[in-house]
Amino acid sequence: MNKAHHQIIDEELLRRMLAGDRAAFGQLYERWQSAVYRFTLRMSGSEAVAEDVTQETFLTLMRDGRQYQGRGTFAAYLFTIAHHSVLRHLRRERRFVAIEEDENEEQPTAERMIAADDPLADLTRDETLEAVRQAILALPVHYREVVLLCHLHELSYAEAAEVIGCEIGTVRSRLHRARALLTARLKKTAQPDEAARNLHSTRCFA
Amino acid sequence: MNCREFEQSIVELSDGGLMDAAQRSLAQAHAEACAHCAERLAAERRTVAALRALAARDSAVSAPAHLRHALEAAFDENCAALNQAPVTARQWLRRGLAAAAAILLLFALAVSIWQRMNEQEIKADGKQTETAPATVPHREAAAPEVQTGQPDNDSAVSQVAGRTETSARRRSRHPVKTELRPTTANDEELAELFALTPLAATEPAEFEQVVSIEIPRSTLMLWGVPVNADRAGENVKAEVVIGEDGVARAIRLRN
Repeated sequence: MNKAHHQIIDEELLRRMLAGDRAAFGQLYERWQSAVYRFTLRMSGSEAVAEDVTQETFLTLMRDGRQYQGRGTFAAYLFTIAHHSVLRHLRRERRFVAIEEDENEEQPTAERMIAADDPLADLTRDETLEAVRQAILALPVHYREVVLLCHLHELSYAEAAEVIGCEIGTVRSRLHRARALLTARLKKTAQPDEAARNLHSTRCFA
Repeated sequence: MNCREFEQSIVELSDGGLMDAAQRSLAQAHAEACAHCAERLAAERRTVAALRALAARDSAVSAPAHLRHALEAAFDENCAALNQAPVTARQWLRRGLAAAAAILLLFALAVSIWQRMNEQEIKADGKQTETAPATVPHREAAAPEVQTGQPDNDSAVSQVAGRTETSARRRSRHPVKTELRPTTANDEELAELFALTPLAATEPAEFEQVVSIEIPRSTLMLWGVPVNADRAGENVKAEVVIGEDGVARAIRLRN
């Protein structure tokens, strides 16, 4: 089932939901609750915030769902609501845990990483995945959101741009920078002795 | 392709997504030639793989079950609230009438305010002429001078001054000197009357007021009266004839 087919189903469920069909609301909720909850959980790092934001998102959908008139995908519409809501929570709780782009401090996840040549060699290990989660959470918010939307939720650049409210080129450049930060961070946490070696050390310009 | 250009295409290259074939070939060739970029590409691919693994693991994560129950309850309440208060045609009619009445009231209020503002503007214009005497001659500067030969007494003032237009803003700013006599501002008394509006000399006055003011001697030069440069800074007394609409009609100098 491709995205277009999902889109048709979502629009039909939304139409029925707005007409008062409780079962349609249940179906729509089941289709999207996990994505919304995961997105907000990874954005905030807090289950309580994720729960609140998920609830707010679907309440907003009930109240203002008529505002969605097929402009953009339903996924982008729903993530836009969740995005606004989670940013409000983050501002309120001042939970922005941003990393400096050239930080040198010891990472909190370092002890969880496997001190091997390839820190991501065993991606099935819980420690490894937890390290990735923590590295994402440590990104500045404007990088974190593009990583989550484009990689964890597989939104297109256009959809992510609609959710965030920026240009597609901005999404692309932020994603590029975010991944470079993630790569550097994961590498550094796994190999603290080589922390000084960063991305800009040995350009050859061949 | 150099390292900087390679860096620009590393996202598409490591994602394995759509990419221009020529660009991909160039990037791959660069990675084979540059050890640093090859390492950078490998690290980027590992990061992408880690993100995909995390996405796969996270797909099992769900919102707590009680959230659905709470939302379904909210949905029921929402529907009940919508169903309880259907808007009938009679209610729509009442709302329409109320809206129309509100619009009419607003319109009447706006008209009333507009009329009051107009009245206040005319009054304020009159007060400004009274309280700011120096502005009157300056505003009437550089005007052609016409000798009309009016006598120098109060009755003459009444004949010269008069209402010419209803709106002060549409009024002509060209002063007309009623009588020009070769003299200087050093004289103790300049009794001739200078009309400040072109129609002042021809239209009879319905109402006017004479106000005593002081103006700098240098202002007299604006009407072509020769002024002693040594005394240009001194003030000279004058009487201004103000019309019904608050605009200065004529001026007479006294000392």
